[in-house]
Amino acid sequence: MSSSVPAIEVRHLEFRYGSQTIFQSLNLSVPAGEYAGIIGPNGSGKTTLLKLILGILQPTSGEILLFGKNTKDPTARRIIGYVPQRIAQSDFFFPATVEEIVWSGRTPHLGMLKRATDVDRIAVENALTATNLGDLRQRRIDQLSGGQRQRAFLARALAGEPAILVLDEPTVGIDTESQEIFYGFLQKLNDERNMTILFVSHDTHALMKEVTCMLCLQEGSLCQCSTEELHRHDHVTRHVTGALPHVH
Amino acid sequence: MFAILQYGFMQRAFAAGIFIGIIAPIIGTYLVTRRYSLMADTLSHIALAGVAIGFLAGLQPLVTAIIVSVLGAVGIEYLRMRRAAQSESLLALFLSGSLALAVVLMSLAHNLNTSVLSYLFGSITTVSASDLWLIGSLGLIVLLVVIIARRPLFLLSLDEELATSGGIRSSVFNILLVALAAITVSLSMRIVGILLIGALMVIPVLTAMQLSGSFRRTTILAVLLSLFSVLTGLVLSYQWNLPSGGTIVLVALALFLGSLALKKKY
Repeated sequence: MSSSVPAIEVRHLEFRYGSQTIFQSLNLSVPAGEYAGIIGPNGSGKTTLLKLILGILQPTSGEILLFGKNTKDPTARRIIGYVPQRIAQSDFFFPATVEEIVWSGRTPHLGMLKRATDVDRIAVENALTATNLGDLRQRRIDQLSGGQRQRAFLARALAGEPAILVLDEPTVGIDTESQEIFYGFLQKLNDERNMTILFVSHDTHALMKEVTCMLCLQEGSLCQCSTEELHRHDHVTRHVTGALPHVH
Repeated sequence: MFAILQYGFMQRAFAAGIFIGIIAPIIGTYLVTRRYSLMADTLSHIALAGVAIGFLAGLQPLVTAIIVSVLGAVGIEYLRMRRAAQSESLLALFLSGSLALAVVLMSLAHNLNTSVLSYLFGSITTVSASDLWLIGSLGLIVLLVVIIARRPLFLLSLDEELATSGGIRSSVFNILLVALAAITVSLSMRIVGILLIGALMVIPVLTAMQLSGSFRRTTILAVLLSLFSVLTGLVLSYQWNLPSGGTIVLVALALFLGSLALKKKY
């Protein structure tokens, strides 16, 4: 991927849900290799923005580009590894092994008819190794702890060898120790592989310690700043988390 | 055991039972893991409306059941994707609506009681040679399509948003899955009966899920349990003159209860 092209670029995004306008002329650009966090109070549109970037929702108007390719094209989305929120929930029930889950990360590459090759096997092994899941590969996914399950879905995302990793509140319901381990994995991926990471969380303070850039959403508008700026202007952080009244 | 195979109707019932015993739990595995277990029941009621249309129009009921249930399945999925209502509400709507349609249509046709009962509860004596050809050929097509589409279907069952974000056209595979389920339901109604086919698609899968550690093993075990239930149920229904559908499902249920006991023990 060319580093001169932004990893994620949102241009004049408008999104309406029924009669409600969620975003109007939203613009953002996340450079390649950035570790970006999205924060904002409940209902600010964090998950909606994520779903638009992932192609799960379609913009009313405007465009979303991943390394210059419009997300309307499903093949453009194959460079995304996604870790959803639901998987850490205690009622998650699915009769598959960790290995089967991780292999499903290769589906966008394999499609329906391609036979798995050594390239696919190596990608799966690397993902299992990177997340320390080698010993748990034959365990059923719904018999793991929330933290282990979260790592398995991170491994699934990594198996697709993504250029962009997108995570939606993956630490919800996870104990503090597992959260620390998980954040460590992400930091390593960002440092060693220069992977672009987009992380949605309501836990602003934990996220500020990890990310290099913060996207702050409130009432459909967005401000984008580095974590240094956020530390200097802590009131902004408190504002976007809803602790302060509106800042003009 | 082999004596009963000397009768042509039993040979056809066993052959049809083997096809159904294989495809019903395979489709069922994707429906159950996708939390869409009630889809099979809804489709079976839509198929009943198709049977009634077939009788009224003088067409082969199995063919009209397939057409109507596939159309119904696509309709449910279309409305679900349009977010017209929640999934379970849509299933309830189609289930009761198609049952109402079937009852009205059947009341318009006279002298249908015996024929309709065999569709409702399954009857081993009613599988004709043409039924068997249709069950065999469409059953093979269903099996082949599932084998080809197994990767996207697995991802879709795991999480629809994961599939979409990975560039999989979820709407296409959702419609494919429910259409395959509709065909399977229609093919199974001669043996298991419309009111009980949902059970054959779901119970062996639930049993296999108690005992298996992987998706692959769950699918294989569900097929083996389903085949055992169908074949044992057919033999018992012949020997004791019982309705085949109810007997098959009771065998499947006994296996499920056994799996619960086994799981508790180990």
